[in-house]
Amino acid sequence: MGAGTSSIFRDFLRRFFRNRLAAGGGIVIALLFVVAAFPFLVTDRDPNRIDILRILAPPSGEHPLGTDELGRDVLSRMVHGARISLEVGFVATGIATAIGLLVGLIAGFYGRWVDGVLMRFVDIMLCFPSFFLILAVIAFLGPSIINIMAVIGLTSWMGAARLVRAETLSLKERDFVAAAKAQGAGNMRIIFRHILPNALAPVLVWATLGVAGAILVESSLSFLGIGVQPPTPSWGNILTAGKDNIEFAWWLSVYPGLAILVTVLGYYLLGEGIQDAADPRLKGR
Amino acid sequence: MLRYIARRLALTVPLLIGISLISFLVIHAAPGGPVEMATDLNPKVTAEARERLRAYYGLDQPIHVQYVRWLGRMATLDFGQSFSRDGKQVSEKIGERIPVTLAINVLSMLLIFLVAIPLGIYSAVRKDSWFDRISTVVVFTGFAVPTFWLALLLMILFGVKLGWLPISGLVSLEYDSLGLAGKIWDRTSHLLLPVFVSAFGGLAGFSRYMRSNMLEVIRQDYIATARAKGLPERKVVFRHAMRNALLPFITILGLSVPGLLGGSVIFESIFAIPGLGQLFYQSVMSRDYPLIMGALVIGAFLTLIGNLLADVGYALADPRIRTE
Amino acid sequence: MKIARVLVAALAFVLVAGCAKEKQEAGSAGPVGSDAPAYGDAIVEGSIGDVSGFLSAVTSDSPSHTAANYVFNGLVRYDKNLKLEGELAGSWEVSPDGKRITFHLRKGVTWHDGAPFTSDDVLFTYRRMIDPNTPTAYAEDFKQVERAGNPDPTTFVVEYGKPFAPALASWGMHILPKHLLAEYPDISRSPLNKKPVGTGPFRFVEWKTGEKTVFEGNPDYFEGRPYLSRVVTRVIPDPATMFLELKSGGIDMMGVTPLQYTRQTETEEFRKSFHKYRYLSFGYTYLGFRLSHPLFTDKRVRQAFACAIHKKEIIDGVLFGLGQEATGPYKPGTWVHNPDVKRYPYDPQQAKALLAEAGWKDADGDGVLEKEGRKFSFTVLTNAGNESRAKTAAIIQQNLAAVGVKMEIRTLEWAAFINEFVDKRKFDAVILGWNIPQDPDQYDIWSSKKTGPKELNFVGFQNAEVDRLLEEGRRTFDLEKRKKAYSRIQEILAEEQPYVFLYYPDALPVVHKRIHGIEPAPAGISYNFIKWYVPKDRQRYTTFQK
Repeated sequence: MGAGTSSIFRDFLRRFFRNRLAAGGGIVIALLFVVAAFPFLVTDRDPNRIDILRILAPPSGEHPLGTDELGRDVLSRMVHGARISLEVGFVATGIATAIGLLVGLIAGFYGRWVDGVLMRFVDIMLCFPSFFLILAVIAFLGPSIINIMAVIGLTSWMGAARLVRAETLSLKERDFVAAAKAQGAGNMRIIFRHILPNALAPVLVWATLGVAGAILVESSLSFLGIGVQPPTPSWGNILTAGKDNIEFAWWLSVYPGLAILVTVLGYYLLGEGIQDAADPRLKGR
Repeated sequence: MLRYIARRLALTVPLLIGISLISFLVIHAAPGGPVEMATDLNPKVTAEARERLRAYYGLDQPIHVQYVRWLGRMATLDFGQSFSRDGKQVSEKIGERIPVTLAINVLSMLLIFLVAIPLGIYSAVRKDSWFDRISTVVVFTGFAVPTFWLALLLMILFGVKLGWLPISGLVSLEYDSLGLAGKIWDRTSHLLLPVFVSAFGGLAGFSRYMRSNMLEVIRQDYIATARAKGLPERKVVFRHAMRNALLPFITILGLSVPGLLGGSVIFESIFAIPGLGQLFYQSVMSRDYPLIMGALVIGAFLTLIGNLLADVGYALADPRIRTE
Repeated sequence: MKIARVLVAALAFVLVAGCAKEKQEAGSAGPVGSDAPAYGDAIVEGSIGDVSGFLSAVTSDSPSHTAANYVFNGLVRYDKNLKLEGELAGSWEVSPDGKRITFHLRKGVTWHDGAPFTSDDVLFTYRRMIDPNTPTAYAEDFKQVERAGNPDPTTFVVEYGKPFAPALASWGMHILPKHLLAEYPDISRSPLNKKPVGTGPFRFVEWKTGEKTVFEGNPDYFEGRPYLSRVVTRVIPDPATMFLELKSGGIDMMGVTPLQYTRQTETEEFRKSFHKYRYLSFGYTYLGFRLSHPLFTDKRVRQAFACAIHKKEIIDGVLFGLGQEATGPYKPGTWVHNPDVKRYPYDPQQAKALLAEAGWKDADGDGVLEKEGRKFSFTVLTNAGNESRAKTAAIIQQNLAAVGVKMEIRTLEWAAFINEFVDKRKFDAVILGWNIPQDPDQYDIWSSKKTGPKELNFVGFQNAEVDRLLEEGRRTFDLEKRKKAYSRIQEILAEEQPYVFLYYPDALPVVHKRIHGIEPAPAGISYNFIKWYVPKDRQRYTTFQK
């Protein structure tokens, strides 16, 4: 696939929206972005305002999603938590994508021993249960949001690296690369101006799934007490706070759980939809 | 084929060294040490007692000396003594926990295998049908749901409300006095929920992978040929398509080991299962360096073995490699 | 498809086999029979953490100490009213100069392996406690001993250089069997740390690491055989799971959270099966200031905090009322507690006034006080995993914001917290708790000699009068004199507020109703554990009778 022309893009969009599941996913994610960016559209309550008279109050007109263990409004915390969760997801995946691109491009392009060494490194990293590594590093360095983003990013780039490498390997044999070389383009230029844009597509799909995965990792870290620290709200820590009261204060578990579920599902469907729509070979039956 | 296996084995050595280095680096990112865990904030401790404990644990050596000593011992699978109070050998402590974690992971891989394959095949064959769509959503629900949340919900449903299954642990207290059938049922009932929860998350990835593999394969020429030859659809699917789609599947089953091990931290905690995941979590919290390193290395090692087995299985199954 | 059919069949088998197994009702509405004490049954407790060893001298975690208490005895212990009474010692005398204690040991006590208990064991224990090979945290009290000896098998004499009041309580330390440990220079490496042999009411049966510990009643126990045949402690790391296990009968006893106590255990169904108990526990939570920090050197600032923090809101919101406001480091209801110290009722106006006096004003109207260009902003540290402390911190944050003080909260994992921040004095303020030991001597926390790195006076409190009173308090056995000294100490602490004392939480154990014999007292409920029993017709675990 060369650089997209507008008709190819339109084709892509058409295929994408025909897939109703994927379109649904896309809408969910779009809504999420809007809410995270403009929380006041949904509610203007202070997410950190403690009200001990209303601890664990069930959903009501005043608190549509109920209150938590300190009487704080769950809806407001969910909305502000959306931003945090998305932030964590994006930055972590951004880091992972950047590293993966770098490693994959270099390995694929230069080949031979560079490729060998880099891919061995990827293999080594893949051997570790990444959650073990994340757990250990966060526990040692402290659960600040930055650490969480960095560590998740640093332990999940391997999939992107492999993808990019595979794409690079096939792309570098192509005509337009040969043409660029003939014109005297240096390696760096070839890599970044020619190969990179074309290798991006599968990586983007991978990245959407990565954002979803990062949200789940954050909720696992919250369960262990080393996720985003309260009182800053994140879906993971609201869910964890709710787990000890799961039968009794169901709203504290159900809503964040549903939110995570729907969001991750949305990302997955979106990613799959992009993949299906971008690959013309799988068109119809 | 033996050459293939030998080559794969040789590749594992540099991998192992890299693993040991990375794990060593990771744990030295850590501030704090095990001595303090033992004696902190207890009004009866003096500085002198603490120093004694520090020397006792050997933390006063420089870093590279510690690493070299450790590397040497790792070669003999001796990870040293755990820093914790019982002072057991790390390999012993991990060895105690591995059977449980392995058992659950193997069972859950089995479950994934049994469910993902038919699911993936059927979804591929009936692409875009209602079945395909619904199974997509159901399967991704498993992926998208935080493990502990799902675990608790199932525990409440099956353990408290319905009372069908035990809530946590490996065996009941009366285990020793049960007959053989009772013992089997006891263990099984305790494992049902953890295995299910562990597998449910993995279903998504695998069934989708199977599905896309099948889709790839179905479009191949030899399938069209088989159909043109007039073979019944069933035979086409099973005999030809499936076997070829299955091959890469074996490989990624091996790749799933680290994911399953990592996930075990959470569900072992929720289900009170004394496995490797729990052990690792506790060792991290108490800065039990030898144990942390041992667990990381052994986890990586298990993955290597998993991959190796998968590759061997692949080699056996793929006639092209078998006859090399 | 064949596979599907096999799966369905397997599932059916599993379900049928499961239903066939009768799940015994956890003794709720049984036949009405006699409630008389009977031997038998087991009690199953839940614990978040596993035991790390059974010799309490070389462990410091609470699950290990709880387990060790079943198996071992000390020379003395605290009775239901928190008075010292003899355990392995039938009686004792303190010499008139306060320097010598003579213990008269009980006769006829045997170790679980049948060997007789004698004063040799006590001397051996003492020697090991001060032995550098023993990795113990509790040697300090024993180092004050100048001379120890056992003139005969039932007498043990110990002499101190100076009178040392906490000495008596220190002999609550578990006594170790010389005949089983003498050959091990380091007792933490002996087999006894994994398979303990003691003189206590229960004998060790098994320890499945990470899973459970099991003890059985000792028929030869010198106070009489305990009624319960077995004590099992199950390791359940997650509190949500533990509560579910309690409700489904998997465990019989656990300490519940204030939230669970007030809201989730009030259903009729629950009360039918469980007794709930409540008593003031032996600890307090506080906000500690680093006294050398420029923000906190001025006493008025600390007192302002005490006025600004709405303790009742914390007790109602975090503890659901299940606790009491703390005014000092001693528990109300104990002989040493001084109720007449200065108090700080909730008064934000007063807080603002005190802060203004100390020079803090909000000149630029942004809601945060300043002084000489510096904003009143600091970070409070607390340890992760403690829900009450996290909630307390959040409430304090809100309280302080209302008077113009900006507080950030940082929760840290315990090991890092202690090593990197507390021990190195790299903190502004902390929210932590102390256990309140039975002996009132708190030298290590308040003495100006204990402010070195890694010592416990980490806030840096230095007060000459308190130092003098601490010495007075520990050097006499006369209760009146001690009480006077400690009362005055409490007055000074209340005035100086090196901590804002927050609350004493209640302990909230919940026990299955079939277990009788529990009598709440100032010491709690476990002091008479060996007298707990289950009437014959309500016993649940009958398969391991002995």
